[in-house]
Amino acid sequence: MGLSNAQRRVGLWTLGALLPLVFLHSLWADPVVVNAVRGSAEIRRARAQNNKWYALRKGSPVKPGDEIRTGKSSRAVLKLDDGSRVVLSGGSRAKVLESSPNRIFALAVGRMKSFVKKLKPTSKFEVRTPLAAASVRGTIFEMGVGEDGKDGYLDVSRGVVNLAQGGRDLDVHAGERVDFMSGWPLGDPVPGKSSDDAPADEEKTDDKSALKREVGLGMSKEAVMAAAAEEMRLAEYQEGKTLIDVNGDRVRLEEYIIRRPQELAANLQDRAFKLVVLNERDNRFDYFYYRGVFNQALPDDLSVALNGVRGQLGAAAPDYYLDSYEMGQSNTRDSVLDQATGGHLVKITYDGTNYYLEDPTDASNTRTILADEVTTTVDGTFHKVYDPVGDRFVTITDAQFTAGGGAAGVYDASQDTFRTLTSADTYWRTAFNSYSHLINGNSKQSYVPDGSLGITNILAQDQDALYTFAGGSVFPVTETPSGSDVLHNRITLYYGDGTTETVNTYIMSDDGKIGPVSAFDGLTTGSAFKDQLLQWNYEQVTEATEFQGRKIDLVVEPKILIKSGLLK
Amino acid sequence: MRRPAAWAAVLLLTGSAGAAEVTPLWALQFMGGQHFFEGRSSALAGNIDVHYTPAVKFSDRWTLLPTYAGSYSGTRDVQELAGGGTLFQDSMSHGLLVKSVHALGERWKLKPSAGAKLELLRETVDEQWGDGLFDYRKWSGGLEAEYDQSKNAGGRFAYDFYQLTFPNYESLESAADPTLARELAGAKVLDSSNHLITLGWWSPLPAAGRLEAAAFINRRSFGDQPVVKSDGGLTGTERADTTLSLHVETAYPFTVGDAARAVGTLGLSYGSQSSNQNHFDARKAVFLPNYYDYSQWSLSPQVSAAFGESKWVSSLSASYQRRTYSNRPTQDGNGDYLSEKLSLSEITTQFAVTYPVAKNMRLRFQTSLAWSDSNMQYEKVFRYNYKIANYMMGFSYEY
Repeated sequence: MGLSNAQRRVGLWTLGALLPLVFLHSLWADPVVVNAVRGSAEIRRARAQNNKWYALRKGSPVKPGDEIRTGKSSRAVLKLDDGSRVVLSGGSRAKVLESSPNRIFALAVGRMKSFVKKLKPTSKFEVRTPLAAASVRGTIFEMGVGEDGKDGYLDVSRGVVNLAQGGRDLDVHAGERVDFMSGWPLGDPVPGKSSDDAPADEEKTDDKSALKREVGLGMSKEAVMAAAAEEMRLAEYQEGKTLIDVNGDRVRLEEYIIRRPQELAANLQDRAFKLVVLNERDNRFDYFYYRGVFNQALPDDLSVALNGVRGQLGAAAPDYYLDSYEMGQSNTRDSVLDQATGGHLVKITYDGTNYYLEDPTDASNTRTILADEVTTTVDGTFHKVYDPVGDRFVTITDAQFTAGGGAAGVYDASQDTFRTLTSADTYWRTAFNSYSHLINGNSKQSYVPDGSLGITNILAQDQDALYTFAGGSVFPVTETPSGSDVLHNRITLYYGDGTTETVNTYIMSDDGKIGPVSAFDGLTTGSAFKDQLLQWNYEQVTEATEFQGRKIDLVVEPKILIKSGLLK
Repeated sequence: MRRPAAWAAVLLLTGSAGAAEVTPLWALQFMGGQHFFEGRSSALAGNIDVHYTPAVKFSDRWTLLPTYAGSYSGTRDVQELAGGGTLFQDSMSHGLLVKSVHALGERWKLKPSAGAKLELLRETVDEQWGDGLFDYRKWSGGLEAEYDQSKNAGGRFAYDFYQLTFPNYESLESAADPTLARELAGAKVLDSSNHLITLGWWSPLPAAGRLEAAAFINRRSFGDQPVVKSDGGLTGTERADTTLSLHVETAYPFTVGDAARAVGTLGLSYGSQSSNQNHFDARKAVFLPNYYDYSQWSLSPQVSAAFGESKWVSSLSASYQRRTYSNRPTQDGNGDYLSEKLSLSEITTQFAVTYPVAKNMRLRFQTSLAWSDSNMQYEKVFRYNYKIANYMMGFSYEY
């Protein structure tokens, strides 16, 4: 449907009347007007006499000499008549110096981002700060001025901006930024961070950055708090409180010493200590303890007494020695208990051929033991060697003997080293007059002094002790169930009463892997063996007829076993 | 509470009425890789980190920032592999932090916050989530005041209280037969209450440089960890630690002609801990006073650069850290104590490259190498001397 002639006439008339008005408006239009205000922004009119600040309203013209300031988190957008825009960020103050044909702004403090349309050849766009001025012909850039006016920056998003300060000027290209400070020459441009986002997007980006910063500050404190938890976990690891056993299960380990054990009679408490080792796995709890009662009250520094507990080298007798001990292992239901009483010192001297054992409390109680008894059979030459430290005999081959096997290893405190006992040495060890080994309360092995010898103190078990075994006998069988190349040994004791006691021992790494025999290759002395052993963990699994299929499974550091005398 | 006071509290918590503007913030990172320790390599595994904050802006003066931070870690970065990485399979954490930011005038902000966090660690292959020995929960609350001197300079002061509880960790001693436990033995020996004071400052430097400094002072009280005395027994006093951490970092952008644009940063940190707790080594029957006291410092340079017109950004970083225990002696290979005090040095280097594959998304590859060196020779229960390397690759997304 078309317009009628009358309608066309009215329309043309109206257009003819309005065109001059539009033209005139363009002549009278203000070159700079307020396009948007967010938050608080104020204007101080140059023409006003009272020097007062008034609220800035959208659509207000901004004349040369007018000054605008924005509150924190606020923003004012000025639109220029050529489509250019100027965004004044929060906390800024700027003045319009010229509005047409040149557009010149003075930024006193804060941030101003300019989106400049292509200018006519006769006009220019310039932002001046107290320190530097930037002029362009069509670009996007941002300038900032510090609160005291002594520093600022120019960040160019698009095009090229000429920056002048003092007598120097330089072109700053898109993606570049130049910072300037009072008293400092203009530096070279560096990578900028300004984007050419439209004002609304730019504002969003600013807001997001601020929000991200807030979140980041919160997370940095969270990290400090998390580090506190991590520190506690680390300390537990450093103290060796968690290990992995041979089955890949985590074992928690706690070791501590109890002074003056309350279960003892009052007169013994000052002379006693108890070393406790606790193991916990996901589904079981095992423990080991060693309680020693010494010949006299223990000093505050327990190590003084413990240093000589397994024996002491030197002419002087040790001040502290064990009167009795009790060593228990349990899974909270079953138990293995070793008890010894009647502890006393044995003085040992060596002349290269024999060991001479003496009882310091009874000059008539002495023993002479041949250090090395050689026998030759069809299988070769063997040496039955006496170990005065462990009070036992071991039989080794001639080759092993020649390599130093069987030599008595002792700790020389004066040199802080392990060495072999030599002919000039005097050595003191503790012997016990009675011993018993019980499983779930049933005695499996025990000894007392052989009454036929008429002695009070045992000096050498092999000669002086009278043993009793469950059912009258014991028969040991040793095996290497995981192969001869790894350190998994099994010893089964077959007692005369038909019961058995089986002990599996594993030497393993921190992550529960059974160690290779080769780790101990070439180690012929007891001390060297112990040194190597200390680098590994020790797991001992005990089974017995009395346990009815249960077991006691202990992971213990070898050092504790060596100290307690369990491992010789 | 009287009614006006109650209204004031409600207003403080809810702010003025008005349409709320929600800005979602996302940060997501997925990285997969493996580490190598003394010739052994871990299985391939992945790490995921998620941060989500639906920031609610109620007004120009009040913004609420509820943040969920979650992570799953199947392999660890070299910085986390203290002790050689034993006893670790995987971990996950879930945290919620709510922060309310109130602008007071032109320069001040007040920021109350509250949070909760749950971290779960599985340390053996068959361990179930939630059964981890070192699982912990954290509750926190605090107040921070920030002063903005200018857009790029300001400071903050904060006080936070937080509680750490390890629900699955009780001392074995407390669970053992009474005749096997010391008098006063505690059960929840790792649980602690903490008072954290934070001081921070940031400022521009000449030539587009930036300076950030922060100090953290943490007073930690253990409610159930009696102090060990010289004979190995326990006192009636509970353990209390004070830790101090100072950190200063500067950053400078620079160019190498037209070939590269780069930012260099240098961080310097100092930290110390003072504790009233001692240690009695039952293995050696040796009493070690102030066992947990230490001081440490670290230096961390980093350079990130983009070359020419390439979109790849490469970064090379290193850190050197040295910790010295003021009263903890070092030990020889047999565990015997020596006169020298224990010290640990750690050097970590990392090379990383990122490439933008889409808006807000970057591909990332990184490889790290770390050396740990110590005068401690006794390493049967914890590794002090080792080298470790890893590589990880994945992507990050940030919106």
